[in-house]
Amino acid sequence: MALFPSEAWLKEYVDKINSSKEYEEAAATWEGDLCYVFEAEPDKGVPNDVRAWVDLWHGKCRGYKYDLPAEEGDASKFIIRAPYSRWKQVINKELDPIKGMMQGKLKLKGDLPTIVRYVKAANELVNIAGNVQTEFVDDQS
Amino acid sequence: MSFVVIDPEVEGLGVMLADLVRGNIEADPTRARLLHGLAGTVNVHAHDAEVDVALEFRGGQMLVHAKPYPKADLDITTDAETLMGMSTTPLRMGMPDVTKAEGRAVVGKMFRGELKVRGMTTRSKLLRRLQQLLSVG
Repeated sequence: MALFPSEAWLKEYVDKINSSKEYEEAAATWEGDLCYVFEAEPDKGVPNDVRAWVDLWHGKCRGYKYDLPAEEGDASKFIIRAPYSRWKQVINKELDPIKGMMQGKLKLKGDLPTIVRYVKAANELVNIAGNVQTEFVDDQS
Repeated sequence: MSFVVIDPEVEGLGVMLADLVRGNIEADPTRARLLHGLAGTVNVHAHDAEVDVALEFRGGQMLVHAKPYPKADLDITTDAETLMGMSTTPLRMGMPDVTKAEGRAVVGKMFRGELKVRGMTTRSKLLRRLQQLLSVG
């Protein structure tokens, strides 16, 4: 069980990306890094924004960084940001990311036509996140 | 002159549609021609996401408004996934290409009432141009 958000959770996520045949197929020609921003919610145990960066290349994740500085994370090709509790809903599959983006609950920065072309790969990244055995920081006893 | 103008209160779906059109024109500036001489209003509803947006075409621009028109020239209602999928549907003369499986899937949704486009016969040019502007295919 990996605590979210944490580097251990990110590593588990990356391992699952790299073992996913579905993602490998859907993202076979994808080139570009992605930064997830888990926005601070101090009352839920996330005192500061956390940036998790993944270097996605041709269906694999060839590198990752956890809690990188804002200026580094914000230079990524694609950035998806939302408050921590929204990410919790996404990981728990209570919030569909496409609907979340349409509702303005998840905010995407980057070339949208590219994301739309790879929507299957994007969905797979979300499915993989939902498959990580996760304990949320605000649910810790 | 900017090809896409968004009202300050617009978010979510409206921003996405604006980003799609802007990104497509940046990638292929000849697509800006699709806006020339185009006039009309479009409401887009993603019913399962419970979001609406209004688009207005005039003066070579697409204007994005948060509040739908009481009666737009075109009115598109479907679910979020279908709406997103329409951008990747192969087109033929600006309409879904029924020689391709993805194109037939869109037409099938229209027959089943899962995708409703009011005004498509009277404002077919507006619909064709809109699909071409949003297409990432």
